[in-house]
Amino acid sequence: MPPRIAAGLRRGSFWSAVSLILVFMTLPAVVVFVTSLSASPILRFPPQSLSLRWYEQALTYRDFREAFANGLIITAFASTIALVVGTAFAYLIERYRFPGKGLIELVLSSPLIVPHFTTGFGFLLLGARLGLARSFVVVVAAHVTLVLPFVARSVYVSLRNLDPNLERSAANLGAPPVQVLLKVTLPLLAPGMIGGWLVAGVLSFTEFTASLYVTAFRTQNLPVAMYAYIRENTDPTIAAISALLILGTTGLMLLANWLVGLERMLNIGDHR
Amino acid sequence: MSGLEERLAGSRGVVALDRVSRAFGAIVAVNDVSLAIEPGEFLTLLGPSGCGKTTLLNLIAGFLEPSAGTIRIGGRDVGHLPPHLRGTGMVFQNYALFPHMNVFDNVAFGLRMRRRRRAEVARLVGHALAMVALDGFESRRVRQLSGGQQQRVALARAIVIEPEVLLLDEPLSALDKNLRGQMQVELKALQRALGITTVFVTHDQSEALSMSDRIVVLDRGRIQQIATPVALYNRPANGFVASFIGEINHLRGALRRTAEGTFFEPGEGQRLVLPGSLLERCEGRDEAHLFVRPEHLAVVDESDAANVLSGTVETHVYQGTHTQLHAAVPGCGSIQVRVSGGDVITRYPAGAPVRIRFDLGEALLLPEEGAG
Repeated sequence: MPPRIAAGLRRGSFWSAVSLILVFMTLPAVVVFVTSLSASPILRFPPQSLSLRWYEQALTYRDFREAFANGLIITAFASTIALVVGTAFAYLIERYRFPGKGLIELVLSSPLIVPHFTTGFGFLLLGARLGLARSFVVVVAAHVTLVLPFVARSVYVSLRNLDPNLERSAANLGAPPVQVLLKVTLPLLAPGMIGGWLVAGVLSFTEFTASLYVTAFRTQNLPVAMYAYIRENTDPTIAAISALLILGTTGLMLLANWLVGLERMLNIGDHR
Repeated sequence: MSGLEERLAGSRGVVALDRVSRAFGAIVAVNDVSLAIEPGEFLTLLGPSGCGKTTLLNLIAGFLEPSAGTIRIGGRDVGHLPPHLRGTGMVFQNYALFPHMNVFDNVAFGLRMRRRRRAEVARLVGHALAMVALDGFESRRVRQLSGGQQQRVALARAIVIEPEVLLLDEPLSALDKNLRGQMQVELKALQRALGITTVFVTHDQSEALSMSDRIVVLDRGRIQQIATPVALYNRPANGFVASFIGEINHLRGALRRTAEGTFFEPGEGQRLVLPGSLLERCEGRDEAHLFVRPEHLAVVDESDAANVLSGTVETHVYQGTHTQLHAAVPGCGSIQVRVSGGDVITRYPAGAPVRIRFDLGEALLLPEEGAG
């Protein structure tokens, strides 16, 4: 076989493999999106005729609106608390040696090991014991636990990439420790912190498994409200709200990626 | 070193170290160093990696605390003060410019920390940037600058605060060779114009020789010698300094004292007549180490003269102005001879026999091979 044809074939098969993977990855979202445009009140793929009526329905449905607002509150508190705590943890782990450091690292990564189901169940029992069952406090606490490792990791990677000579240089130029932190360390960590905060926000806002346990009707977030809806109804409203959720999440992830780089945020290893 | 002499000097210098040591666990990085830096002096800390020169600089800057000894800057005991209270200005090897600030804000940082008035900050920053020929670059991002420009910003940032001592941590090592030469000249001119006391760290002996008023040679945490560049090159205190500064031939051999004089016998029946001036440090020794620079050897035609040894040409390293000829001399190993020009390459090709005259007037004869 002439080398040019061989190279062409190689390139062709490479790109078809890539396209196949992409199609496979996005297929569920595409199906949901197409279904959401259906004019018929029955969930069916592919749709016979097109309409935006289910989007109107989704955006005006009271449970969804309340759940959306709940989700925003939960997410805002959970990811902000996780940001503060995660930054402190990341700073401790990167800058200091102390006994029990390995334990903190293990606990920080435990939400990646413990199923969300277990975390939710645990917080449900704990909340009941404390008389806080299904309150916002318990929901936020559960979400903080779940998103903390992502924030801590994002800040940790930023810290590892921070040249220690920058902080030394600031001190050398006369900056006391607080000024070094405010003028140099924090501004340089900001992209990692904001990125971690956004990822935490997305994870918290779309979290379902643990939320199912710890929320009540009054405190439920959007995924739980969607689950409640689909148990009762079979119309494409659920597809429309799903499509909206995917769009919103994509927007946030693009923002986070633009700020820090997704590969850095999700990367487990560190590169100095 | 003579401790008392150094310590008396230490009470006068801008920077005075008195018996400073610093250990990391079991490793002693800086071992009993006493040193006084005179006002306006350009002092270089020179040594191989791991010799303690950077640790010493970090001790002066305050990034490390000494395990023992005192450090004075401008008469104040600063050994245990944090870096921001020491009044030093440092240029880092990688410049460490703040990437989230433009050139102006980088240079202004130290002034703002000193709460200078806005108008004064602008005036001083402008002045400092003009001194490093970067006026007009105020609003540039740091990342947009070339390596040489970043280096100048780092320098401007350090001198604008008028530090009592300027600390330079291998600031030229990241630059390419041509730029490095140019920056050496500029840096030295600026230092002289400002009259600023400077401590310069480098592992590059030619950089040290060309820029310094005095050089401190360090090895394994200890000062080996403090001297002017010329004195260091011509009168190294020990074998380590002799080998580290410039190129030098190192021979070991026996000392034989006879009625005609004292001979150095490296082996295989070879012998060299030693001038009496070389002998004082080897009284009563049977063996010694002889250090002689390639420029004090010569390729000669006569065979019977004193201190001419025969050998075989191994290779040549042509350097333009001169050629370094490597010859195998029985009993002496490989010997380097500096010959001006390049004719020697054709006159004495590899494998050819060659006669080498040793001029030992400026050689060094030591009882030990390394540090004294």
